Amino acid sequence: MIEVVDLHKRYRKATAVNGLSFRVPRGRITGFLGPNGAGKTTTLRILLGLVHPTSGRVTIDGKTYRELDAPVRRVGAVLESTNYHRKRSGRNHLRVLAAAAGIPGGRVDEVLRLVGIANVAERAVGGYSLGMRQRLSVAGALLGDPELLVLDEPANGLDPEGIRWLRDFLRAFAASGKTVFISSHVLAEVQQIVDDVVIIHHGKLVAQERIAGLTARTAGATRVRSPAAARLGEALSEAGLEVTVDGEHLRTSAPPERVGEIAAARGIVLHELAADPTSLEEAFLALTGGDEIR
Amino acid sequence: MSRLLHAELLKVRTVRTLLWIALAMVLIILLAAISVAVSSAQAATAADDRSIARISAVAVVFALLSGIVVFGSEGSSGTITQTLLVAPVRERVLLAKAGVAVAVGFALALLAEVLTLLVAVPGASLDVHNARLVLVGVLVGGAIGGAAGVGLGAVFHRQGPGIAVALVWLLVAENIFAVAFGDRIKYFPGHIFAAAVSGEHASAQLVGTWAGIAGASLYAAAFLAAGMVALTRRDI
Repeated sequence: MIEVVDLHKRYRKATAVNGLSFRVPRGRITGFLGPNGAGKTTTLRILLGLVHPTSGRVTIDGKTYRELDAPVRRVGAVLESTNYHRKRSGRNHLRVLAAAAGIPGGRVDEVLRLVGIANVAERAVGGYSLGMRQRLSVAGALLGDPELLVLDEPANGLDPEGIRWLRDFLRAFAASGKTVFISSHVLAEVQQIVDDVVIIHHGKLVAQERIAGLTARTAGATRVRSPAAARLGEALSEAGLEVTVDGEHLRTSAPPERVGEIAAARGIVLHELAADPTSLEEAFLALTGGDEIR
Repeated sequence: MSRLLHAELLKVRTVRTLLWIALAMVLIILLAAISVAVSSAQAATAADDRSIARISAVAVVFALLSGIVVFGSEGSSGTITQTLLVAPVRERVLLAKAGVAVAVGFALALLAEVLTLLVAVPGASLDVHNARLVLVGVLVGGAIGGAAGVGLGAVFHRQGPGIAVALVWLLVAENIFAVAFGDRIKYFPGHIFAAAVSGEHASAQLVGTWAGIAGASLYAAAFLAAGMVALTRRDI
């Protein structure tokens, strides 16, 4: 659906995007990750026709955003939460967008109800909380009932309830076969909702794969607890595995199945055997050489 | 295009910025017209009629400012991002804004003339027939001023710098240039717009009314073209 081909964006002194290429498949939630300054926002803005690439091409179903016949019916975008006229009401903001897109006015009330801000729709946006503005952004993105949602840091400023709402909403959106492309620095939040990740660093692609595969590939550790921890440690070491002690637990890089087989062969009782859940953040840090995540 | 025009009209109607601009213009015109009426300065000649009718010409300046606001408020508030997400062909957005600004400028000019005539016809014996060319020039100049303002707004992207530069140019810079350029100052934009609303024949200081209207149209086209280039090249 989205295809980025050899994308470059150079500002006067800085290179924001440097030969970036990847594809975002249809019908999945894809996380777009990278440390501060990696080029995520620039890439999204090029995708949406707001920034001109120095070279390369970003297309949606083979067309640039500008070439799409009815862009808001194909793509909904949530960018910064500050793009509002402070004196204009939320409903009027959406009415303006609907009018420009040729969308019936009734859809405005539908999306206001959908995102849960119908009760404040007549208030000027200047009086909205950050969470309300983010919901209004989502409402604007949904006006055209698009098949693709592009979100740039949508969890910014949301309270826990808002984050939960956003997560549930995106899951429901994707469950209907639609596509979500989401950049975020809240990695724990992304980890819970995405199917795939695209990770960039210094404007270049670092990794693109399924989230489960990424965490398994970058770690794949097992955590095990046994009343015979010393014997188990010896057994694992004899099997050629590296073992570390973490309180009551032993950690090893082998998968749980292998650890269980070794323990069973020695008749060692296990009280706990689990894949060591590696966070996306750890995986990310491993891939980007420890640069801080924005 | 009609969708974009509708959306731009909605933008104008759903905030009060242009209402305040119109109110400021009304105050200035009423003050000027009433002061003429109460000063017992009756229009004795056709030149007097044109001079009094030119009170309404202040609408052209307000039309220019309105045009700057029509575009520049989107840059200042950041709503230009969402506008371009809905309508990614930027040329159409600029043309829609220009269309709305032309209508706003014309409406401001019409309002200015109605107010001027309501006060000056009975209060200063203004002969409308003698002032007809001024009235035509103000109406056309208002419309052209709105379009020129959109072009300036697109060049500066934000309304604050656009308004500041326009006012400094009209009130200060062009008068300074007059010293250096002599009679050729009549071809500068402020003097061209002044000629368009003068209702007079060509003189050493100003070109004639029709030449002024033609020149103002060319300036508006140039500002719009510059705004188009700036808008299409700018990263948002």
